[in-house]
Amino acid sequence: MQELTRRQMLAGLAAMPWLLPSGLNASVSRARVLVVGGGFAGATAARYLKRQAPALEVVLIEPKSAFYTCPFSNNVLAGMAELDSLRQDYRALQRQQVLHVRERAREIDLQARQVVLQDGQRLRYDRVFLAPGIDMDWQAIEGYDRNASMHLPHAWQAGAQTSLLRRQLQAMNDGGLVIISVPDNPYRCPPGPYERASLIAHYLSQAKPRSKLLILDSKDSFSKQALFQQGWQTLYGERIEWVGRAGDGRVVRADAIRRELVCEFGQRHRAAVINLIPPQKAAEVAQRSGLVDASGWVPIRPATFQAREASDIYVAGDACIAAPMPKSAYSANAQAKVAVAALLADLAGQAPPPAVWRNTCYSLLAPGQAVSIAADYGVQAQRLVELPGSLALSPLQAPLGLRAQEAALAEAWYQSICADAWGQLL
Amino acid sequence: MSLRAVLLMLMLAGPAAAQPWGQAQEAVEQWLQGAQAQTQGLTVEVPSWVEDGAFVAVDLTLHGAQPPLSLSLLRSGEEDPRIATVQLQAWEAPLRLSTRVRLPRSQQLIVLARDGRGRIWQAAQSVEVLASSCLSPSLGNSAATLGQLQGWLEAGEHGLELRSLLRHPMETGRRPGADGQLLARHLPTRFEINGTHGNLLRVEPFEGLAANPYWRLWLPTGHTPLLLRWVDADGREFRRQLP
Repeated sequence: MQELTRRQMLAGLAAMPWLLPSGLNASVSRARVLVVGGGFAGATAARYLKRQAPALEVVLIEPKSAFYTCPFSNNVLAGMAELDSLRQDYRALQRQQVLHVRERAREIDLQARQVVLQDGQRLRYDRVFLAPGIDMDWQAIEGYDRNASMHLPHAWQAGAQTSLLRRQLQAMNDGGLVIISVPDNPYRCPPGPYERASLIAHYLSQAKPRSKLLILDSKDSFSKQALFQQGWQTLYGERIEWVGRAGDGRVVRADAIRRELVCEFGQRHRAAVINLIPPQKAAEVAQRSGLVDASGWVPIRPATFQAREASDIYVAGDACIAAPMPKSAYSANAQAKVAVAALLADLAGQAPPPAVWRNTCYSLLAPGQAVSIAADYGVQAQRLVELPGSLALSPLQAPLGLRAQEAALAEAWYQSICADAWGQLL
Repeated sequence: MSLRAVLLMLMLAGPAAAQPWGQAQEAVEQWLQGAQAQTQGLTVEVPSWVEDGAFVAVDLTLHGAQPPLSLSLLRSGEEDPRIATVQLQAWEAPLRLSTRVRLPRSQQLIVLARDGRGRIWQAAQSVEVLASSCLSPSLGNSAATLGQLQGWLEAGEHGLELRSLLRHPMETGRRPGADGQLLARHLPTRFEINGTHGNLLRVEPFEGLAANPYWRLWLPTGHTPLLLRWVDADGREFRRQLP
C-alpha cells in the first residue's frame, strides 16, 4: 500500500505543470543561472534547470552542505524520527553537473548583474533563481533575538534549533508546562504550529503525562482550526489549551533567562519549555537587494514568478508573495517548476507557458493520523487566484481509517517531494 | 486631439472621476458637505496587501487637530461602507489611533476627520486582499466568552497608551454558519471610554469593524481611572476599569 502510494505520488508530482519550451536555442545553452538557496524551491529549480537544459550553467549558491527540512521536523520533536531523517544533501545535484558554491549570497547587484557573496566574490549571471527562504524578524518581539533563541528556540528552521527544542522537551520535568507562541499571518507553514502542538502533546502523553501545552496565538483563528481542535479534544483531552488574540494570546515581550512571555494585555506566562515562533520576513539577501516591499516579502509577477522589480530575477518559495498559495514546501516545489519553465522560455525568447499550481498541506494529529487541505491555483487578471471549487479539506467527521490513509499519504508525499527536489532515489 | 477623442476620454473618465470612492461616495459627500478636505497632517498606515481581509490593522496619525474631533472610517467596496465613527474629546497629540477593519475584497480604506475648529482632513489607502487557502473563518464566540474585555494601560514618554479588545463576533448577518444558514446579525451599538473629567472617546461600530474589535490610542495623563464600556445590541454592557 505504502509503495503503491509513493508511486502514485511520484506520478502526481511528475504531472505538475511543466512545459519545456521547444527548440531551446544557443543563448540558453550559453547562459548562466545562479540559484540562491538550496531548500525546496532552490533545489527543485537547480535540478529541473539542469534536467531540461543540460548545457545550461547552473550554479547553486548555498553555504550549507546539507538541508534539514521543516516538513516532518515536528516528528523529530516528538521522538518519532531522528534529525538525520530530515537531512537532504546536494550530491545528486552535483552529479547532475550543478556547481555547488558553499558560500552565502549577500546581495544581488542588479546593475552589474552579479551576485555578491559573503566573502566579497562576485558571480556574473544571466538569470538568478532566488529561493532564500525566511529570516526571523528579530525586531518584532521585545527581548527576542538570536541569542534569546538559544534559550527559547523557534525551531522554525530545522536543524540545530530542532535538536535544541527536542532536548529541552526531554529534559523537562513531568508536570512542566510547554508554550508554543505563534505569529500573525503571513508566516512559513500556516498549520505547522498546530501540528507541532499535536505531536508534542503526543510525546507528553507518553513521557510526561502530567505536563500540559499552551498555545499563545497572535491570531483570532488558524488553519484547519476545527479539525485540529476536534482532534486535540479526542486524542489529548484537556492537555492542549489554545489562547487566541482575543484571549490575550499575542506575545509582545520575552525574557529568555526567566523563561517568561508577556502578552499584549499584560498576562505573563512562565514555562519549562518555550517554543517562540516569531514573525518572519524574506531572507536577508532579498532585503539587501531591494526586492522586498514594506511587508518584508518579495512581490512577484504571478505568471512567471519574476521579481516585480527585476525581470532577470525569478523568486519562489517562502520569500515571495504568492498568496493565496500558502508558504509551504509543496508550494515552493510547484512554484519552482513553473518559474523554471518561464525562465527557460525567457532565455529562448519565447512566451512563458501557461501554468496552474497545486498545493497540499498535510498535518499529523498523532502518529498514523493526519488531516489535509489542498487547492489548485491559476492566474486570472494578472493575479494568482485559488481556482473555484478546488479547495479540499479533510472532513470533520471521518473514520480513523481515513486519518490513517492521510498519514500514509503524508509520508509518501514527503519522500516523493524530497526526491523530486534533491534528486535522491527513494 | 479631435473633439470626438476628447469626448470619448471624458465619457470613460467621467464616472470614475465623479465616483472616486465607490460605495462610500455618498457617505464621503455627506461628511464633506461641499467643503474642501486637506490631506496634510492625516496619515493612514495600512498594509498595501493582506492575506486575511477579516483583520486588517489600521494606524491613524493626525497632527494639529483641536478637540472635539470626529472621525469616520469607510471602505469603498462594500454595500455598507461604514466601519466606525469616532468622537474624541482628548488625546495626547499628535493623535495616534489604531484599530482593525474588515475588507472582504481589495478596495480603498477612507478616513475623514473634522476637528473643533471645523477643519476637515481626508486620507485614503488601497488595500489588496490576496486571501489564503489556509485561513479558517472565525469559529465565533461561545456565550461564555462573549464580552470578555481585555485592557492595558501603560504610561510612557508620549502619554498613556491604552489598548483594548472586546471578544465579539461582529456578525453582519451576511455570513453562513456551519449549517449553511446565515448567522444572525449581532453588532454592538457603542463603545465609550470615560475618565475622571468625563467622556474621552465614543465609537459607533458598523459592519466594517473587524470581529473582536480592537482599539489603541494615546491619552493625556490626569484622566485615570478610565472606565471602558461596550454596549451590545440587546443593551447588555461589558465594562472594565483601568487601572
